[in-house]
Amino acid sequence: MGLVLGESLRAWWPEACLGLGSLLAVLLSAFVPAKTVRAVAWAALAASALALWRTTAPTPTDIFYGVIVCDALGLAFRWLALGTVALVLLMVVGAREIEEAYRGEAIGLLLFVGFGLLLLSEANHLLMAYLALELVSLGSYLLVGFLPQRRSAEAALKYLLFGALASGVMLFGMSLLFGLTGELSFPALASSLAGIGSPMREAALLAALLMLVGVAFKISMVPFHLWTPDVYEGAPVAVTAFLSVGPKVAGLALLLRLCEVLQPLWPALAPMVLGLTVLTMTLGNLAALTQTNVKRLLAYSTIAQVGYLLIGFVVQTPAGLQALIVYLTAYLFMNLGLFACVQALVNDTGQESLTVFQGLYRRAPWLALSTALFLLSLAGLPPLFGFIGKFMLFDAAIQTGQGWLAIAAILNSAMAVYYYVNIIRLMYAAPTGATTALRPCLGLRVAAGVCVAAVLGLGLWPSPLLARVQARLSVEGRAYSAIIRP
Amino acid sequence: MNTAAVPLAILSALVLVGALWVVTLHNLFRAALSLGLVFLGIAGLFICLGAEFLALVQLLIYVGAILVLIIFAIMLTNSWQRETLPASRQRLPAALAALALFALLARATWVLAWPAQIPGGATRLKDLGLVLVKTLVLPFEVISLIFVVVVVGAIAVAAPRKGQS
Repeated sequence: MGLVLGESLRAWWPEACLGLGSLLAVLLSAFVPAKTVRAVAWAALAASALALWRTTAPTPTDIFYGVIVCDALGLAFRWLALGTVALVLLMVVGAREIEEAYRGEAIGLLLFVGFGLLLLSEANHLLMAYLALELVSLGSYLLVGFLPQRRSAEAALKYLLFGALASGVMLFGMSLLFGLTGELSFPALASSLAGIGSPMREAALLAALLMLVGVAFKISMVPFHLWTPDVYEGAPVAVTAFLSVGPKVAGLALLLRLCEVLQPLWPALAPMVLGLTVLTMTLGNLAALTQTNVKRLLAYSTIAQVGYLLIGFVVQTPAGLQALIVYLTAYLFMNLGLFACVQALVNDTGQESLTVFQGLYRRAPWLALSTALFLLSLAGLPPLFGFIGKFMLFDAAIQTGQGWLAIAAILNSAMAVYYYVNIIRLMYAAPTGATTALRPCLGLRVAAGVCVAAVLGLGLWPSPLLARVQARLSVEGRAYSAIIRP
Repeated sequence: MNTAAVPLAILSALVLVGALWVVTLHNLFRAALSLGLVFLGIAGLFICLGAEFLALVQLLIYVGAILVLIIFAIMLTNSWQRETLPASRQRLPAALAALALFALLARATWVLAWPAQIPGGATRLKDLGLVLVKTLVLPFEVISLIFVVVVVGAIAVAAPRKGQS
């Protein structure tokens, strides 16, 4: 027993570092100023990243008695989760709307949620997946309510109620599945479901549907997206930025693993998920066209982007999985970069309507330029990173003979160009209100700078990353269809 | 109908009635007390099904802690004597959605023959304890982290701010 735990802990340094760091951060935030907590948080993140860098080889042994699995898929998603937390940390530190006295607690909670994201990316057991999901959800509810304004509390309450309902429905599904098979770990569930007979099969299908509801809520997939705009609008900008990437990353990881478990039932589920994918991107884009609040606009934009990401999932091929991970990387940088720019604007003006972008070109040329880059990348224009990812996704759809899916996605992208370019028009062509120079604080400049470098650099030279993703995700020789098989 | 099913049926009816009261009673305090009835009924169901430990935990945590906490919260917010209407605009759709979910679950599970006991399942207290510190040690530890998050976060969110009166 001691042997297993020792081995497990050795493969688990990234999570251990981040978990201990988050505990230390919340403990310290009661006694010391936020600056010290920030230093602790960076140290924990750096240690975690270093540990993750050193555990590049997938560990074959059962970690913590098979409750989690450290495979290539989990490794990719863990990197994405760590990147999200690091960029959001820069924004939380630079956010003027979060009171200095409570910034330490906000940083500690963010690290905890980051720990949950790492755990969710590698969960290989229903109980572990559920607990990691709750850790992420509860932390997010609290972070959403961090502002003194009433709308922040309202958003947190709305998120909590919707989230509790989704968790409840998901638990219904999980308990039904456990009752049917008597198993909780993913590989055992998969083999048990493979030979399931007729009356049990319908019940398992219902269980699968109920579990998918919980995940669909987390990644704001239509028709479980209703909370997204309200919650995004009420939350602090930095938290909105986190919500638009973090839970999506971990939710998609869980979705991929669940789909692997539910493979015998997938033929019955596929048409529905396919339809919802198209619906998700279309509804997101249509609703985004008329928004006037920048956070609401980005909420609908997130829903649409999740629709594109789901293409990589529904095609069920290794190419689709690689495209999903590449586009998720692109989405992380362009969306968080855009939110860093929005944070700079909100810090300066205290408003969130689209009019704050008016004449930004005169006030802060570099900020306007990077905002424009992120928007164009989200719209999927070459030569930016967003284009590469979208191209791979659409290509994956065409390869499986689902050309109509690619066409629907391309039509949607064309529609999205309108509202992305509208912001660029406001920045460069609209008459300006204020004329004083706007200078974002250092943290936000670093965040936006890193994202610009990634969006431009990986857009122009994508081959090292693509080669790496391709090599890693087929290094186990079987890729997609056998990701979680022992 | 065999005799073993009689207490199960009575307890289930108790839980159902209590649950209906929770969502329909206009007085929050009474709704909270009905929730206690539901928790007690569920503890009884656990006893009937041979899960004594779960029944004990149900009593200790749900009745002893959570219910008391809810009642405290209601009394502290000073709304326990008022007749507060629950959100009544969407009663019918909510009822229909709940009924539909119930019908789906009932239809899917009615025809199944459930195994009497999961092979290798831990029901005795000693086995449960061993599982918690051995195979499920990581989830067990993560639960404590969740508690830390919730406690610290709740205090931070509820603390007075400059922007508030």
